[in-house]
Amino acid sequence: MNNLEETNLVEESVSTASGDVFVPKVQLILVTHNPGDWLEEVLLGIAAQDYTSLDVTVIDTKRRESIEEQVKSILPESSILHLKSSPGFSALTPKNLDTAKNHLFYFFVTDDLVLDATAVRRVVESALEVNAGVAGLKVVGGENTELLQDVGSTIDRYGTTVSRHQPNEIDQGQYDGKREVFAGSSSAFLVRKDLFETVGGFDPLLGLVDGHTDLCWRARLVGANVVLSPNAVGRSMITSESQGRKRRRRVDPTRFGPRHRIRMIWSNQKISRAIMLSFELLIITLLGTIYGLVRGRFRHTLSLLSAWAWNLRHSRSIRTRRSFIFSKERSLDHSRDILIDAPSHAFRRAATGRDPNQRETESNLLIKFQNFWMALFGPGGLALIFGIAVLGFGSRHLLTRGLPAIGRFQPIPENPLDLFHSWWEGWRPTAGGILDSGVDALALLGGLGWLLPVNSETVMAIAVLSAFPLGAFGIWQLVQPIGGGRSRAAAVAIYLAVPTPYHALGEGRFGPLVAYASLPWIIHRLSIAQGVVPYGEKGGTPGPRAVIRSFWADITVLGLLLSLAIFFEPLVVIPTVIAFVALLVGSALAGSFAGVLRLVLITIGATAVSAIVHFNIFIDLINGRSWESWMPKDNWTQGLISPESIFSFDTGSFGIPSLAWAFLIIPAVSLIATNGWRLAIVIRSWFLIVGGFAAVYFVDQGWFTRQTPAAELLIVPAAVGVALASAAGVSSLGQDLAANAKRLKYIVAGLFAGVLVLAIIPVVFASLEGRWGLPEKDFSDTVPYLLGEEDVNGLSIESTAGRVLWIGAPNLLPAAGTELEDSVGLALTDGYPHLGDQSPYDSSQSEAIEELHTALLKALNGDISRLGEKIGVWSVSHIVLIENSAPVPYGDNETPLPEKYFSAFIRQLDLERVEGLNRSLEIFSNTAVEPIHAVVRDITGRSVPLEVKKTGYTSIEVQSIVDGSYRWRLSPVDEWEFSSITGASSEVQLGPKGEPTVRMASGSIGQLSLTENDNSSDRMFQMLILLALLLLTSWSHSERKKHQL
Amino acid sequence: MNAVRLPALVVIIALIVGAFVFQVQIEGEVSQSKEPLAYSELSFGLPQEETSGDVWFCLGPTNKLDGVDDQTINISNLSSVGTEGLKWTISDSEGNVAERAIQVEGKSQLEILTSQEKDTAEYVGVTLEAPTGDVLVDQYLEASEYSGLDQGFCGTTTSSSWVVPWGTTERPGAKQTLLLYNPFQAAAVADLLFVGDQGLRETLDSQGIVIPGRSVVAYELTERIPDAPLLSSYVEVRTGQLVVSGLSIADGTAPSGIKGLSIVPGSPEIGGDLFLPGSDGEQTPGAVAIVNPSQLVVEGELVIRPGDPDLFVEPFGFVLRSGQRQVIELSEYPRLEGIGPYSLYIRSFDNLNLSASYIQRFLSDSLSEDAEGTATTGVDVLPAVGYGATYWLTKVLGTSGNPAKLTIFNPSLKSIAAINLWTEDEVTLPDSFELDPGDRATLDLDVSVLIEVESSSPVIVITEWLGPEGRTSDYGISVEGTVSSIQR
Repeated sequence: MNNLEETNLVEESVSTASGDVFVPKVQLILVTHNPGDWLEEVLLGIAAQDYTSLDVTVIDTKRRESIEEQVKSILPESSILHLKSSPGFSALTPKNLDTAKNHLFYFFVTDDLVLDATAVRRVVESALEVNAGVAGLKVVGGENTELLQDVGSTIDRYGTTVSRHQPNEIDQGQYDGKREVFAGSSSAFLVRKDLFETVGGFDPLLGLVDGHTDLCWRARLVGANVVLSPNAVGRSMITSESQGRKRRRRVDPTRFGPRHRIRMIWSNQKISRAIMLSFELLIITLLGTIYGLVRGRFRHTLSLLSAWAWNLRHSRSIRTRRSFIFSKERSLDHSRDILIDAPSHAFRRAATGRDPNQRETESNLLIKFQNFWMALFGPGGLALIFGIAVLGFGSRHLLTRGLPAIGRFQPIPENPLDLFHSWWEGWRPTAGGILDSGVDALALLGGLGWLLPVNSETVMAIAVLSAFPLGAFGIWQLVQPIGGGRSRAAAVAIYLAVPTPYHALGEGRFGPLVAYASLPWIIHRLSIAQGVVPYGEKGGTPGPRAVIRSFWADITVLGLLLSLAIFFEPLVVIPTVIAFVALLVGSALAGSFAGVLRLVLITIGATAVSAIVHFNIFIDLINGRSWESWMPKDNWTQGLISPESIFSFDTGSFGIPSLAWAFLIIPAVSLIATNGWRLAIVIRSWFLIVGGFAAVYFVDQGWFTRQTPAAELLIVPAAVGVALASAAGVSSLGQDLAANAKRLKYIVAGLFAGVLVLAIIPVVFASLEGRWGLPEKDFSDTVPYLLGEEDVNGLSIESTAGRVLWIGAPNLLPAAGTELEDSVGLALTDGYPHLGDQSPYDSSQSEAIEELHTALLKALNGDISRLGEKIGVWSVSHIVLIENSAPVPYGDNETPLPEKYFSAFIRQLDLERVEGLNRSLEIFSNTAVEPIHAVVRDITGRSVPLEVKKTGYTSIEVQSIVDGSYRWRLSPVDEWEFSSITGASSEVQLGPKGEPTVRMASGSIGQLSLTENDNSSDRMFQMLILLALLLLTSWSHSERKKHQL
Repeated sequence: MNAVRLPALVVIIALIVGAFVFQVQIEGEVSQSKEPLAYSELSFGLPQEETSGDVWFCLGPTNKLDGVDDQTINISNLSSVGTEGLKWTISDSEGNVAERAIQVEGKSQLEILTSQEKDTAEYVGVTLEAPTGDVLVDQYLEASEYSGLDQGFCGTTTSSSWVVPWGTTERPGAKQTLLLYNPFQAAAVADLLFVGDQGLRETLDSQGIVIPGRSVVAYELTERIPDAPLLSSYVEVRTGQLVVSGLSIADGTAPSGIKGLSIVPGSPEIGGDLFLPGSDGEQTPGAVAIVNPSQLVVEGELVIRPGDPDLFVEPFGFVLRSGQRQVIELSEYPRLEGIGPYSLYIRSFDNLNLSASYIQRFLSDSLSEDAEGTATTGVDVLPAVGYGATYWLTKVLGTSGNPAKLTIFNPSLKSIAAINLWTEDEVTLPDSFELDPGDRATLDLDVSVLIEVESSSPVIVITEWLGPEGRTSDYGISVEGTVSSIQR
């Protein structure tokens, strides 16, 4: 023993057969801190020790009486010391361990270690043999004693404790040879008492994690040896990670490591070295903070940053600790520090808090969050963030000022719940009143408009613009199994750059945006249904994060997805069918029928599921409703879109058509350059492209002469195909092409990068405007005033405003309508249109539309000169001829009407043209309008309006002010029933024009309400089916198995 | 997993190539010829389910205007049943409007004197709505003091642009008034332009003239643009549509001796091919006033089309700048003497728009020394038209001693027209006959009768009358659905 005071060994004389043997007295100190159920076993282990001169002291840091009882029952001669609550050895100081008995050694044991019966003896023997100041034992695993748990440790450059063994390493005696260690096992070790006192005992602030390391370090500094006694074995009682985490919650290495590291350096290193290492640790802290933020390891970041403050706060105790070691009289041996690592490893440990060989100890949730955070800052995530940022920037004016009311993007009604009522009761006032609830999702929008504390324009803007991020996320999901971040980045960028959704946005078409948002998800489910690599196990190993489900789970998920998409746009079925056929044809032409049967069966099943959810649509079709009545009318004339335009997605006015050819370059190169399953994906993608283009081509060539949806909706499969092929192509750069010459790989990579830049240029430039080319102003600013619905200040006027007849190109009409003639449409609304007027309907259901249609044609042919009288019967107060999407100069979608329309209406003797209007529209006021609710006076035969009060969505209370016959112009006329409240007759009679009328005296009151129908019960049933489907999907979801590379 | 690329590659390339090969070629937009706008079209003889209505517009001076004896509106019910829903609206130049329903028995006629309807207004506009058609409306104006007489059918047309090629403000004695009638609810706004001897003129008050809804505005030209022997007027309606007529009254004291009354509807339609009935070869021909209403220079010619196809008469060429007009006095050209009856065809070489009128008037310097008696020729203006019809109705107001002339001419440049005439009255009419392109046939009738003319190809029907009271000519009424433009 160098540099130690000579002490009198305290031994005990033990009589043996060979004579008296002096056995050093050892005080075994068991530190308990909320011990587990295994405490009894630990105590029994201690009791079983064969070392004779052993005094046991149990340290209770929680003051639990139950421990005292338990200890006394097994170790009746032990002493119990209650110290303040503190885990680990930090509570043990030379002062409070000093007892009357003179012990040579302290043997510290934690409350989770069961000692072999010979452990103490062997450790003492080892210590005496080499005159060691500290001796540890070998700790093995609790569940599997063949695995090493602790065979001592060392420290690296920055004071991080590093285990000698590898995780899950089997004990084969490989560490038994070299006995000298830097620090012994942390769970149990022997320390000479005088040494313990010399170095100042445990650092009270280091606790369980680094307490013993610091002690050993300090012991070595003063010249003591630290050894491992390989024959002395203890068994850890920690058998699971969660137990370990729970036990170490307050001594978490992640949390306390950085501060302990600094403290030990400041306490145990020379000043000069401590300063140098401190600077290095500062840099490490900075880098580690950045790392932690990027990787989502916020606890690690916080611990790095807080370590400095903590140590500065406790700098006084550091000085005290240093005083034990750095005194004038003592020369220290720093050459005996053991550093086993390359500096890079030490750096990594300090900066990341992780050892290269360290096993994950975080929870699954934390790992998932960290993986997500990593993905977010990977190439794919950055592309997504950039895309969403550009989208957000490009949509800023729309989000802050609302969507302009063009096409189908009309305002939510003043009472948003009207949309819900319309859906629930199956009637809406469009076209004079029809038994048709419109698109189901409008009810949801109405609910949101009512619930959310934002104005309805913002709700509409969010609802419409959410198609972009939804579509982008859908593509992200679709291409995840294909490759890494770069392929996801390429796919997302391409999909967001395709002009199709911007065309739809510019023309106010909702359907294509729904298809754009939903089709990637649907195609993803179809691909999973097929189960071909990388989406499944057929043909190879599934890709990263590929989700494999059972047959029924795939049916329910796809069925649910399809049902939800149909809620928003029934026509999404069409691009879905195109995608389904494309996958089949693509698979066949790729040379493999693997998974085709599964795909077909699952698609059939999902179709059946969605047909059940939308049984009302299904029943309507069976009952003879034309499927064309679900399609909004359009003015798509033959030859409007040439093949060149189709191939460049040029179906509207957005973008730069000459650059749009770039979209096909990556898929084309990918078709040549990829192999294996990537080639199969590219081929299937190409048939998605072909399918979308072919659908548009067919219609444009006039080969399908019936009503069709908009070109943008039909072409969406092509957009998905382009993105999917791009992902496969980019993914092949790292795989298929990597096997080729590097030059080819770089050329292709450069080409892909250039194409991506060209593709996104139009979108980036368009984002500068902030509204994607949508007009700044719309007709809703002025037309309601001209129609008498608002005053000059834009406030609504309480009046029985009449109906408005809109005539113009179908895509310019602000409501869904029917065809008048030759690409001219006709729509009828109650006042200025709103969102509830946007859903297509079967015009044969509307008596008003049929009669108005006939009258208009007669007027256009010059057969009548008093059109006002004809249309006034249906309470049409204004005719609006509309020729642009927005007032000049804001609208850029001008479609002039033939001159004969203006001439025909100007020549009507009872229509009065409203002056001073924008060139985009002409308004004619009808001087012969009749009220919707009127009493025909007995004497004069003139129609007089009643007092009307809405008592419900489909119930109206009327009060007559004259004697006469009350008649109503609400369609379907026969579906309304009248009941008298006071003084009115309940008998319905036929009026002069065959309409139902009811006799009312002056002052009498009655109620008109829509007759009961099955719609509300159908809706309830539909919601129950949907709920059942959600539950089924959730249950089947839990059976999935996940594959990860 | 292995995949093969060749089949997919072949199919994709084939589809792309096929898309271009089988692309339907969209023919260039064929410029559809504008539907001709007839002055008057009658819904006649249609089945009940196909019945369409007519709206007649009559515009003229009342007897409150100096020199005008009276204005009579005649309503003839051609149907055998009484009229239904006939509505009469009369608006005057003082802003008054009156509306009433009227009834005319089947196959009978109702005469309405506007002086009985309006007490003080000098000018009235009448709108007659016949929802079921089968009603003829004509206007009769007499100014006996000036040997003025005008009888013609009211029009059924409104338009946003009008040309009145001929008028005169020769002082003293000649008065020209532009009548603007707005039969609709909303006010109309019009700009007026004039071309006199000194070129294109517009006055401050001729721009932005407001014609209130259902009212008549009389724009007096004599004081504003005096001493213009030939005055052409252009009316451009900024908003709305109007009925426009030019009223010429001359008392014979003007230097040219012009005397008579003529109310001529403006030309609502202008075109590059216009036709006039011409002359029967016996009477002194009149003058053709040709106006260029466009912004471009128009070069064209006035073609004389004799009935004898072997005869060729050198056409009269002209070049007109924008707004310019030219009057060709046919009587001054010897080459037209002795060629027999001929019709007139005015055409622009580049098919640019023109407007024209045929003027027949008494001019003192045209009175030959050996003329017997007082030449009371009056003044009559007939606008040129660019359309024909295969079915016409016309009223012939002949009397014994003063027969009326029914002239039918075939304006077609290519096809022969087979003509059939009939009437319900006991009048002998010729059997069916044919007219070569450009040929005309004239029938003298000394009875007042309604005649129906049917043709195998579009023809033009005019009635003329010349007597002591004056002279008048007018087109017949084309039946709706039989009107078509004459293609060159």
